[in-house]
Amino acid sequence: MLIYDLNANPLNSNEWAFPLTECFHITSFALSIGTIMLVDLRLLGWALKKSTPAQLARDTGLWTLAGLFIVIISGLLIFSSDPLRYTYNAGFQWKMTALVVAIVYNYTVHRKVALSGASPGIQKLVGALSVFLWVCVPFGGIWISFV
Amino acid sequence: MKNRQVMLTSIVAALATAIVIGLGALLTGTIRTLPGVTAAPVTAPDLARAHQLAGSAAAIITLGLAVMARSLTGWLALIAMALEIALAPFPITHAILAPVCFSLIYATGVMNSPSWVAGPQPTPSQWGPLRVFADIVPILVLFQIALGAAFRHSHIDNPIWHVLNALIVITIILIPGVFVLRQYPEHPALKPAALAMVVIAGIQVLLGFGVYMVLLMSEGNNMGLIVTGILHVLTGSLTLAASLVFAIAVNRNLIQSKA
Repeated sequence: MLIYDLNANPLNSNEWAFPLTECFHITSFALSIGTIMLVDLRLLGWALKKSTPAQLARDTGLWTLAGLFIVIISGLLIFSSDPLRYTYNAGFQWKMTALVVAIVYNYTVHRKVALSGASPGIQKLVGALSVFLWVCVPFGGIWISFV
Repeated sequence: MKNRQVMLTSIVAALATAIVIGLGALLTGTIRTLPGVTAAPVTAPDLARAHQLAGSAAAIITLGLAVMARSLTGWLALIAMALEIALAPFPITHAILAPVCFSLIYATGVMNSPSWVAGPQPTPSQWGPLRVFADIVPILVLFQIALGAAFRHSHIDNPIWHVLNALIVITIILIPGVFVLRQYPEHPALKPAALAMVVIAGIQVLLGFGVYMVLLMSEGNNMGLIVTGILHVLTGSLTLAASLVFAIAVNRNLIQSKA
């Protein structure tokens, strides 16, 4: 049987560990969501009109992936500090649902529309939904401490 | 012809060194558990002898490699191997020097590969600090290996600094790695070096997370801890090697613009 003692977790036994891990988590979230937002703003027709959505998606894709990698690793570390509390926390549940949906959406519909040059109406719809989904993720994260 | 022989010898030497490192990791496989948790030592008859025999074989192959290659990395690999043997009684130094030796052998092999021998393909640097980042990465990886060795050999109680430094190292690796993959997607030397470094470092972080989780959930030593621990140690050496080759490739192929 697996055992798990919260006090044995190094993240809980050092006052610097948790906030530093959070710093990495939030900064890498800013990188990944920020790069996705660049494509979204272009899809919405609000910014970066000199570049096509396809160019922006290609230019930012690897940075988004790099950010998401650190987000997930640092997120798993944070989750390990108190798995039960997070599992039953409504804010965390919301965040995880939004994150999974947003990642799947980003690498399917969003990517296809950005690269294919769909009609402006479709682009706006896809961009708006992407913004909504990615805003939901940090929104849920912030609520973890308050619910 | 000579380069091909050196490259093949490097592959054999690197494999031999990897086996030595793996056996060493198994030998010190009283793998550190978290404070307050006692672990039964992993001992197998003649494991220490197997480690020494494999080490001797790796040392002889490295000597042959250095004589054949007659290059800076070859001689440095030999010096690192000699120091490794001389400092065997000091576990941390022994654990740090092994990846250094492996990396120098790996670099010798890469520098004798057909694509490398064909000569550099100089390309203008599109970002000044890229070379600095590339040079910093192997140093940071070595420091990270030292932190891991210090925890493994009970010189530090808490693995958290090794864990937190992993986040710093992967970030510093991804910055030049992703930049090169984006800006030089067709370059025959820079792209493979960056891709290898980024992928190996990513696998290493995932393996490290695996070890961390098994440590958290284990009462003592178990097969999961031993296997993930050995793989983590081996991939650590590979990460250092990949970052060293990346640094060499960047310095060789990028032309710094004169501002």
